[in-house]
Amino acid sequence: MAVVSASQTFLAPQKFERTLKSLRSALGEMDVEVIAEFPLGRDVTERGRTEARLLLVSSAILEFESVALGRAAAVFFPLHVLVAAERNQTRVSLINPTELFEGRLPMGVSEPMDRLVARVVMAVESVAPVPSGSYYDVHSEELWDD
Amino acid sequence: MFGDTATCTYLLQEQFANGLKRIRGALEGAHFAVAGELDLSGRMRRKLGVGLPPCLVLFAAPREWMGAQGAGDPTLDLLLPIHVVVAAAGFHTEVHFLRSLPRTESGTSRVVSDLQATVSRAIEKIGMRKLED
Repeated sequence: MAVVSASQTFLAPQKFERTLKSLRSALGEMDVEVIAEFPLGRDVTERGRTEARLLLVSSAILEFESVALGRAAAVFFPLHVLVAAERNQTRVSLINPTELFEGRLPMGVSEPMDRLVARVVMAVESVAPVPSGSYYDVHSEELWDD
Repeated sequence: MFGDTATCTYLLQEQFANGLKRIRGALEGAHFAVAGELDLSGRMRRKLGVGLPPCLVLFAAPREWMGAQGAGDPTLDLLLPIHVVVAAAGFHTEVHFLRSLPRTESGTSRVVSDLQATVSRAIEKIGMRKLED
């Protein structure tokens, strides 16, 4: 599925608030800013209510490189990063929106977006070093199919 | 590679300020809330000293998603809010957003696809599709 292949998930061996704080710091070191954030807090798993936060992150210079040839490229910014508590660990997921579509991308957006994703992945890996697809592997059918 | 573009563009016959107001109204009429925005041109000016015509990215999400603080589905929560770009284009205003996800995808993709279609219908009511894309 395109959504799965466009997303990456990592597991941090620490609790939600600590991971969030470390991630903010790591993103800052990569010159990635948190543009906006949304607290999410519904039942994400059958185990009960899970604290989660959606971070919208970006980099001004990469935005500029993308929109220099046309404003349509701006629809891909900022990047979405979902941070969700899972027991004593924290799951961090991100999605590369340029990989969701088979259609032709606006000119100039691919390379800056790939660089933004790479920066964000490096930041995430510094706090959540374990790549994990297990959540989606286990729950994808019950979550996604009607 | 030369097929459909991943984004679509609409043109409003209004200057930016009025165009932005109408787009916000159209989204609200479609039961979407503007959960936030990125002032791209202002950010370019502040951060890089680069002057660009006005350009905003609106973060649009269904009111239910905002009210419930998420959908409870991590994939859907990762895909929302939908980005709607509003950009000055001379005396007109351009609106850009992503085309719908393929509907053959999962249940989550169908939900997002339906939401994108709702945004598209809302903008269609006030703007003209640009054929160049």
